[in-house]
Amino acid sequence: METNPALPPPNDLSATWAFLESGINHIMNRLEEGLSYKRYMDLYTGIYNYCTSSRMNPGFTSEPLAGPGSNLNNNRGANLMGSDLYQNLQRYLERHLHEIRGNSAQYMDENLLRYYTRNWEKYTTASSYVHHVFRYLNRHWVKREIDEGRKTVYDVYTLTLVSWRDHMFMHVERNVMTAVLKLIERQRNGESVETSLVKSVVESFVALGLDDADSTKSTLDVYKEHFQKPFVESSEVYYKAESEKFVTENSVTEYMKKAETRLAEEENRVQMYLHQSTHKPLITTCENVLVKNHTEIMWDEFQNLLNADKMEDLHRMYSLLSRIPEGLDPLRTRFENHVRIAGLNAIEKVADQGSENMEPKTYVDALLEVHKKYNDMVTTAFRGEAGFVASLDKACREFVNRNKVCKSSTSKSPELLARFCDSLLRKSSKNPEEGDLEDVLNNIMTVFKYVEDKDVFQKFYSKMLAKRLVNGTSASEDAESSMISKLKEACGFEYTSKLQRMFTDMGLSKDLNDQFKERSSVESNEQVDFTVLVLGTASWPLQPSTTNFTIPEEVERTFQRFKMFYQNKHSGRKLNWLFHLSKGELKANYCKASKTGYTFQVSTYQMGILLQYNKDTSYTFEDLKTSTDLSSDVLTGSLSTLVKAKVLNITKGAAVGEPSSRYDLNMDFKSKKVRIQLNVPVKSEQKVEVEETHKTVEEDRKLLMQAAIVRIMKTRKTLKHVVLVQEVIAQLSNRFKPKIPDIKKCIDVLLEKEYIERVEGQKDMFSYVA
Amino acid sequence: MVTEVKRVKLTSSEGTEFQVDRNVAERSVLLKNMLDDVGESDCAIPLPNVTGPILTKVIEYCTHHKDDPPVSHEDEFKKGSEDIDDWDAEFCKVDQGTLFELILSANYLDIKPLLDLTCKTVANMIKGKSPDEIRRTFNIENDFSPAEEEQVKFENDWCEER
Amino acid sequence: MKNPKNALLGGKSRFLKIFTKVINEDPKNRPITRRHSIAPPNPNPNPKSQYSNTHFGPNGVEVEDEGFFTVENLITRIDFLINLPYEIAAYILMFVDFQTLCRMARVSRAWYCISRDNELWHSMYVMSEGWKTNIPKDVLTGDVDWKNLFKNRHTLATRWKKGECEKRYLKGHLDSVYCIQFDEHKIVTGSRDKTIKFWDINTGNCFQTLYGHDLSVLCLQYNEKIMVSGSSDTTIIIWDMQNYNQAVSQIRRLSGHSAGVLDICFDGNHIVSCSKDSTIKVWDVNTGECLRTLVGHRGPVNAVQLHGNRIISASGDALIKLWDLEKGICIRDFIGHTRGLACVQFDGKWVVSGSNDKTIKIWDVETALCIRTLEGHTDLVRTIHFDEDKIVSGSYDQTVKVWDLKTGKQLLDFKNGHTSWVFDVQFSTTKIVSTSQDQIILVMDFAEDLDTRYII
Repeated sequence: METNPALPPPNDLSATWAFLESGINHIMNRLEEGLSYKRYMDLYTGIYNYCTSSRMNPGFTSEPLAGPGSNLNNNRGANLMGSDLYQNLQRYLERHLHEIRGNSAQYMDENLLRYYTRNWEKYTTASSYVHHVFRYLNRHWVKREIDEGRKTVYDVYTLTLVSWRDHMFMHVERNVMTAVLKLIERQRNGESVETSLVKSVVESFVALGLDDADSTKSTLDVYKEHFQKPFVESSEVYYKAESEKFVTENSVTEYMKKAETRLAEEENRVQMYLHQSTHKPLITTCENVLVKNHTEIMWDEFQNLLNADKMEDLHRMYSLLSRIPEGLDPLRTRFENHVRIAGLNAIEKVADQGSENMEPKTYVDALLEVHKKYNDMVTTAFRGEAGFVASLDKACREFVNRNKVCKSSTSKSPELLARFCDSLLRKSSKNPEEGDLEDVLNNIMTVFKYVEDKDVFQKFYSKMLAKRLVNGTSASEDAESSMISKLKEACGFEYTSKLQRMFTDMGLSKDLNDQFKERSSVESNEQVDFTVLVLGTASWPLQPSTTNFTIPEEVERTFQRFKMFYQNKHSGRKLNWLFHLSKGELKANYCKASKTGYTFQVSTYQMGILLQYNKDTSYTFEDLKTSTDLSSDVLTGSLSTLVKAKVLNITKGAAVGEPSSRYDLNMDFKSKKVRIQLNVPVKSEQKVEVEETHKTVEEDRKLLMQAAIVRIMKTRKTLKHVVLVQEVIAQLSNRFKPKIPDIKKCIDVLLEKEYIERVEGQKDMFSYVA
Repeated sequence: MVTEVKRVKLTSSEGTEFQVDRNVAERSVLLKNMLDDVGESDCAIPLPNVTGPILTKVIEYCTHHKDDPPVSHEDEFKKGSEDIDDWDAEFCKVDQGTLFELILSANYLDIKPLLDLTCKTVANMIKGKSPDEIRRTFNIENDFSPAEEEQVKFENDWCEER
Repeated sequence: MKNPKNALLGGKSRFLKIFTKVINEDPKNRPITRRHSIAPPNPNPNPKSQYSNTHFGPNGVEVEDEGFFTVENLITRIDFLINLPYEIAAYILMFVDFQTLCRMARVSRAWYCISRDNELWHSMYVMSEGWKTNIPKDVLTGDVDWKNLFKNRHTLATRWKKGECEKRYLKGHLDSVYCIQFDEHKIVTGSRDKTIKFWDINTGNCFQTLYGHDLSVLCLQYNEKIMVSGSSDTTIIIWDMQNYNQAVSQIRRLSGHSAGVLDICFDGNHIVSCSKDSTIKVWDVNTGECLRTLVGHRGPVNAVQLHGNRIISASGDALIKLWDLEKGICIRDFIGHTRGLACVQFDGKWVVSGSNDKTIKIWDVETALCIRTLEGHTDLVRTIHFDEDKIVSGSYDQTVKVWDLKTGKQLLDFKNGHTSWVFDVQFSTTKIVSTSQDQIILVMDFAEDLDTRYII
């Protein structure tokens, strides 16, 4: 039954306070019994009445007027009533909290927590009521005090918090924290506990942090100092002990699982009942104790995991070690080593056949296999982390360029790669499907990325491409252009410009031939099927002929007609005829063995030789030399093939090419095939070619280095030797890796040619000569 | 189903009962806090410091402004006493006694916009007047001695623009 | 002295009870029909006389008329400020202006007291545009006499408006005084007599004379740590200011210009100097190393300003240039003056320049457009200084003029201050200080005998 005392007289402080105190008491202690509107209003009105009794005190106006320099005190807050009420309230709260504090002494641990949180909640709810009831005081007297700069006056709710902090919290917090820590430890040990208690305690600590400068702002100082600090410290102790014990009793992989679980648990703990700001310090501490303290054993175990390809464990180790700074560095180094060794071993196995006869496909496949395996490992176990990707790349670069096969020179890899490409793009019986082809080409590009001597690749590739185009042995135009665009993407426009132009030339030649044919059919009735490929010298890596050659008369006319036709079209241009690359087809009607006759696919030289036999059936070596005007070596070579194929018989002389040897047309020639391919390249030529290609690469490199040096010096005007060398290496890095002695040689060449000069008085300094 | 608009009962100092919508009543922060704290009830809320006629006026104000956005007491203090809209100006055209009561009630019930309005109205009655005019407006006796009056005039002379 | 109206004092609830009592006890309880107002309280405790039928006739004789009743004291007038709680009375006064606040002080003693409320004047001061204070942290704002502070600040503002100031002359230099800077304690000047002098701003006493330059000191700038001065002798000297009361020693001397150093400007990182040799040089303020030279002007560069990474320079070639300090390149030109420029100031957004064409121009630094041209001087405008509100200029026409920055209107014109060309002028909230070829320094003090303790 609620007592409803009458409103006190407003001027009477003690009566007013007595009235208020009984109301506040009710709110603080017996709020559950309810509060009527009337009681609430009465309390509010009581305060209001008291505060508004601050009128001009009648005596006030009889004082002398405030003159200059007079005491200002009678113009300030003295006119606002309220300080008495405020102080009374302050004292009341102190007494009230003393009582609560006193009662708390009998409780320990969980009971203490319950007591604390229950009272905290009761207190804060009641305080907000009191805060509202005292609103008039807050609005006026408190506000003015704060405006005037007094830092120790607060609005009522803040006052209640400050009072709790000073009279209750400070005295019990130690015990409360001990109880909290005990609770958490039990939870960590696996028991289920009442976490709401901890949550309440956390909220209480957070609410008690007040900014000294501005009492309306809250800070986390109290929470950090009194909760977080001891909590994190105890966590550290707990996990240190646990991890050390566990490590001695279990394997590393087992330990990692445990550590991972514990870390997840702590994350959860923060979410469930701690303040967000504890996340970082707690997790960092745990990481330190659980991971950092045990990195050695993890690093040692890493190699075993690699060897055994244990993806899951690798991933777990990665996750754990990525949490601490520099945790992954040793892993990366070991990984790189491991991959490099794996790559080198793979190549060794495959190189048993000897580097000379290395099948390109086998070689490239071996490289790709290693790469794929460890690339997958990087993506799955190491989450594609950039450092690991870099390690992988470094290792691959090593074993792609410096392995058993390449021990002679780093240019072997690009050469094999180019040959592999050629085998894919050339027409053959075992061409892969289009989709598969794309994949294979992409794989090639993967390996290409790692090749250091990209210019070697370019040389070989363009040579082989030229051959394919000239001989018409391209498997598919789409595949060719797909490969070109991939190369362009990887190396830039300049790299592929020549290749591109080769294609263009092919197209232009086709148009040209069409036009010529049209013209031919109009102009004459000649029936020689004549196709010319007109190719730009700059783009095509084709050697000029090493020998002269006289066109056989059967072809002569068409030949001349074409020459004129072309001259008319492009008067300024000069045509160099590459007969050594040309070929043709001859129909042999003289053979008794065949009714329909054979078709010989021959080189132009061979054609020149055979067409002589239209006039006679037997010639000496010298005759043929004279009529065809070929050099002895070339003639010998072509003749050998014809003799071997038994189209011609050597009737005098022991070996082909001997002076005065004689060659007769074999009238008894027979063959199972109707079309006979006689245009077979000579093996020895091929080998020479490869060596030559390598040589041209060296020449090109010299020029590139010189060009780079001149370019750099022109921009920078003066440069130190060391810096110049560095710049050259940097500029050419995507083509090849220049060796420092070579660069030095080039510098000397340029000094001689006076493109650059040494700077007087400065050691090792060069300057550009304009 | 029709949702009932919550009604609140208020009792003036003489015991007259008024019924208003809850959102009208909550223009008064005092009533809002109390309703939030204590909760709803069929009981009437006694307002011992507000008489019936004044309470009527206050309710009139709150009803007219019931949809205004809530005012935060931390609002930057706006000095303009000219920005009173027409309805509000009309509302304040009352004798000084009523105006006086309204100020006290707005202060008691903690209705900041009404308090501002009524105070601004009084401020406008003071502004720009000479001391004599002020005395006449508010029926104030001049309790200065002539010497004191002279002293005060001298002290404050600096504010006059010449 | 008892004020009968004050009988109602002492608690609002009592007041109301009387009021309601009046209504209830009135036997002639006429129903109240007016809509919004209530029958006014009757100060007279006798309810019966509320409705009266006795009137005073023309000769002052009481006459009774049964057919006519008036209601006396219908319009009550209440002394609000006394009858309301103090906090509310103060709240009402928050809405009035300071003039009303001062006038109402004369109404009655009670009104006088309320009108002096400190927090009222505090908020009045704070809300005045452009008025700043620097109250030390250990002083409670409640302990400051805000009305007094307001009064002083207001008086200062009024004096500025009217141009009322106290003029003092400082003599001591032996030749033209070319440059000046001052603060609340001291004035520092540089002169053709090759010296730099320090003057106590209150007493006018010269307490320090520095020798070091071989020719005229043309420009100077200082902060708490160092002072930088430039001279016709083509050098720049960096001085140590930390103990300026006792001694000022040379830290370093910078050489590099091939003609007189006409202006300098420095900040925490760089010193920028400009010279008759048409160049501008950027120096490292700590090491003295010359970092770069900005070339581009076609005539002597007379004035230079530095703000962050930007430099503004003004030259005899009639151009102002904006430069990027790091890159050392000219970003844009400001074209408009028809003759050479003598002075310029730059605050990061606005550029104000004075020229031989007798005008002052205000420019927007981003667009290089001339926003306004101020005309009024009758000869070369030699020196310029501005803040958020006003521009102060000095000219060969011997006058110092004050202009409104936003409108361009000429506010004040000080004609009789100097007897020769004005070379430099600086101003603060309370003073304008100018120097001239007549060797004299003129201090125009607007805050003479005002309490400016907390005013900045």
